[in-house]
Amino acid sequence: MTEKKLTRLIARAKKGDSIAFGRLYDEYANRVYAFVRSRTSSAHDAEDVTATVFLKVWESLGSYDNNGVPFSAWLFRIARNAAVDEYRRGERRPIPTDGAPDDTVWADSAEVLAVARADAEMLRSAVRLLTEEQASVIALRYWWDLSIKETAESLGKNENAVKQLQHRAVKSLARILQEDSSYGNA
Amino acid sequence: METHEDFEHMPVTALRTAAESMPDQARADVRRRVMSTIQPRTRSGFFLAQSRRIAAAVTAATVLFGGGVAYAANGSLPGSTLYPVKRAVENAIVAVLPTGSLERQVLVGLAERRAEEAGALARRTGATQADVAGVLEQLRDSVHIAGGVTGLQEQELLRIQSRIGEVPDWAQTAIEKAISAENDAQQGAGSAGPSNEGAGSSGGSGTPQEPAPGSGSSGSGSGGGVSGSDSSTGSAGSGGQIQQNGTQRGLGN
Repeated sequence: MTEKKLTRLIARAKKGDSIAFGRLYDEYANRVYAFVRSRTSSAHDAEDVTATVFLKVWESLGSYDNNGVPFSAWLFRIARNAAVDEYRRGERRPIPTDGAPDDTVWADSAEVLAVARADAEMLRSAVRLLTEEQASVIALRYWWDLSIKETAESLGKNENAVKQLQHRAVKSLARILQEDSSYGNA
Repeated sequence: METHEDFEHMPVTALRTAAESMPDQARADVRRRVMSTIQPRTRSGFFLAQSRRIAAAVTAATVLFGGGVAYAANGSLPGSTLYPVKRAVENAIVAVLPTGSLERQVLVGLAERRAEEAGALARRTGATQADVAGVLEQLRDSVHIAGGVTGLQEQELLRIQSRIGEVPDWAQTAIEKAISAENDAQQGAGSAGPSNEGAGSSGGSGTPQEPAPGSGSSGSGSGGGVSGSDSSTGSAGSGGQIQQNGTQRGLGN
């Protein structure tokens, strides 16, 4: 969908056009679900959170400013808040990760292989073990297809911070996958 | 044999495919939950909304496709005093329609109406392109809305086009273009991603798509692709993001 069409849909939805809002749902449901599923323990919970997200979007659309942050970024903030609320209800704890970025060259590291050769389900499981911020950046960059700038707007960070966060997220994924592999081989 | 470039792309592709798609049934169920909740503001409003939906289902078919007084009253054209009323009635009806085939039928019916109006305006003596420009925009809107994510079927398109009637060549071209271009773009976007195939396979095809909503670079329809404009992510060490020169892929909806 082009930006122009999206703008039209948003404008209509803001005026209370539920059909237009339904189209927005069609457009974004998978993206929202993909993210919230990474922060919830079951598909059922993810569906509930997805519904909650879109209800909040409907309630808040009136205050959305087309000239402010991109709609995707705005929507993600709502999704993220809803996912955080859901996540807090659970007791799972993210795997601790070191805070500082390192100098590992991505393309030459063993981590490339660890991530690249993991199947989708393994990766999904690993993403669920990331910190909330790391999972967010993975979702925004790889699943929502947002640029660094847009991701920064979504997360309320600057672009450098997002790059570092993304780097750490991928390294953490690799570590989780490698640990899983080690356990599997033991 | 894997090249260095392939090697760099590997984690990106793997991460994309890790996006979990919402199963079709779940997506439809959640949609129903959301859409049935956003109408009413109170508990009594919920039941009122349900009864309105049923009434609307009957009324919509009568008003939009039936004959008699209702049909005659709906004959106003853009620019006339009654036209805003006609559109308000349409909007009121579609707002309470239940999701599904009836909704689609009504929405296609509205697109037919817009085509009919465009034709009627174009047939007026001395009509120019400027006279129909406004209704063409509305026609594009209605085709877009009716087509949803996947676009209209061929027979639906033909029905809409058949409503244009006899018009000058310039108008015929402009109106048909408005219909088909909108639908072509929509079908392209709708087929962008692998949709809901199993494990959220979102990045396999690399099919070039139109720019995505809200971002200028995000995935059409449903994300999942790699940004095409952000060169900052293409280098090693920044997380391995690879650029695709404006192409993007969707998770699919």
